[in-house]
Amino acid sequence: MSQLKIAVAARKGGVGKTTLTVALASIFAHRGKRVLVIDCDPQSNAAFALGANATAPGTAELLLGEKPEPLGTDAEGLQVLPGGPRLEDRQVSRLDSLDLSHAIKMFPHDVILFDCPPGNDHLERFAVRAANAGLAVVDGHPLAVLGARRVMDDIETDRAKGYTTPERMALVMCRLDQRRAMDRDLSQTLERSFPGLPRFGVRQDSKLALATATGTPLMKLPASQRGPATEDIGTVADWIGKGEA
Amino acid sequence: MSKSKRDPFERVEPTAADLTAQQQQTRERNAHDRGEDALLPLAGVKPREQNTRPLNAEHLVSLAESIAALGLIEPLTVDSHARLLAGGHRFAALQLLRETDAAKREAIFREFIGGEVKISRTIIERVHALYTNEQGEPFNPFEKHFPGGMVPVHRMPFDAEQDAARALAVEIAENEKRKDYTPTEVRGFYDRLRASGYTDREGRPRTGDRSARALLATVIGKSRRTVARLLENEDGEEDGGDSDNRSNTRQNAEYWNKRLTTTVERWRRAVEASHGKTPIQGIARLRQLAVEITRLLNADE
Repeated sequence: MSQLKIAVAARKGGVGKTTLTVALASIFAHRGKRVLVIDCDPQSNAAFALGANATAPGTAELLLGEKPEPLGTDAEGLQVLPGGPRLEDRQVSRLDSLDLSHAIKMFPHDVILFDCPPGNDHLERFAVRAANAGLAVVDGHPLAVLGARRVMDDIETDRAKGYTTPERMALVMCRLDQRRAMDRDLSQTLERSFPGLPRFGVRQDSKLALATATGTPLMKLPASQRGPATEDIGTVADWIGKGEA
Repeated sequence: MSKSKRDPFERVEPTAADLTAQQQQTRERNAHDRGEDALLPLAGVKPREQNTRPLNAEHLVSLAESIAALGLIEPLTVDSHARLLAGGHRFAALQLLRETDAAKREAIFREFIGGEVKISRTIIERVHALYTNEQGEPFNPFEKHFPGGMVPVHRMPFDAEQDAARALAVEIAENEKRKDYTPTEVRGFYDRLRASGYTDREGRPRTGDRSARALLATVIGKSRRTVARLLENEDGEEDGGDSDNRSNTRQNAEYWNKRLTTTVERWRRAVEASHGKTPIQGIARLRQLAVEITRLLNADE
């Protein structure tokens, strides 16, 4: 069985990258996979959202040739490598974009999810070039579609140069609320901007936010406390899982 | 106790404090690191205010010639406000090289070495000749090596006005520090000088000569004798009889012994600093060996 490596990127901030990443991680762990979340964000939110120590050695140390231990979480089989300010170290900025893909070879996990930072295309690139699938996350705002466009354009540029790029990409529309006009139109808008690219919708769900706020892996919530987004993200996980064969 | 019963905001303050501390460390490291590879416009580098001591005429013109031939090998050292901390001679030589007009160049030169001092005509001729290549054609060494007037600087992350003691420490350290060039590097400089028309004659240089060896001595901050030794080391076999060869070999061995000692010591310190996280198998054994190698290298026979 091949390792699934998924980059979750958006370029824009606040669209739900981290929430989606840690929810997916929890779902895969719940399905019996060994899962590692690699946080590429200097804000180091992914470990926090999984209830782990956000300031422990993590992705920056890995990139700089050290051997940080992935941190455990409340969910069996789910580990996280924290991000942190050290990702902004100049030593990191000098690294080759393929260095993360080499460094993660030491991890035996079935699924590796990369949580990309907003804004910083250099750190995003480490993840995208290490991944075999990618999710571009948007919400119902033109700025989010602009961010996704830039993520996709960078991948397209790499592909044109003959670099390895994720084999599969999909768009994930997060925090969807049918009461908002731009959210209702989002799917059509994306079909025009990215014709043929798979699209998934994740409904606005305050339970999801509560899970990350309390540092609880989503599937550790009792089923009665999980909202509609759990089902939506499960569909995304199904699509990712197809790459296993 | 279920986590969901906890106050979701209680982790915010401690996490933020730790992240802010890490960010501060990273900023400081980066500020320090930025010094390595900066270019600044020469016009933007501010000279030291208190240091107006006259410069040595022979040294200044030699330095200008070496920069004209090879570029600036050691960058100027400046503070966070681009004030010169170390490299007064190099800075003056660059000012000279920037002036295209020979008469104005001479005036600048006289100002740097102090108006009262009498200067030989040969030296003045050399100042004039800075804009002439070996074929006697005019050329602009400043434009060639520093396009757009940008010169390499090493930037130190502090303000010399706020921290005069540190500024002085840098100046002294910089003056004591001379890079130990390897014989191969010295040979490389020498070849470039010869290629651009510098001569290599036995004995004292004649008037009008541009001696490659004399210039090299200025560039690397060593005596003519050291330059000769380094050049011999590089092509030891060509240079004559058995005794010479043996002494060359010995000098080479001494040189490499020194390099090896330093390298092993640096390696050992780097390993200590990484708290055993070095990704090498058998690191403990290697560390023992490092200590042993250092001991043997330093032992008298």
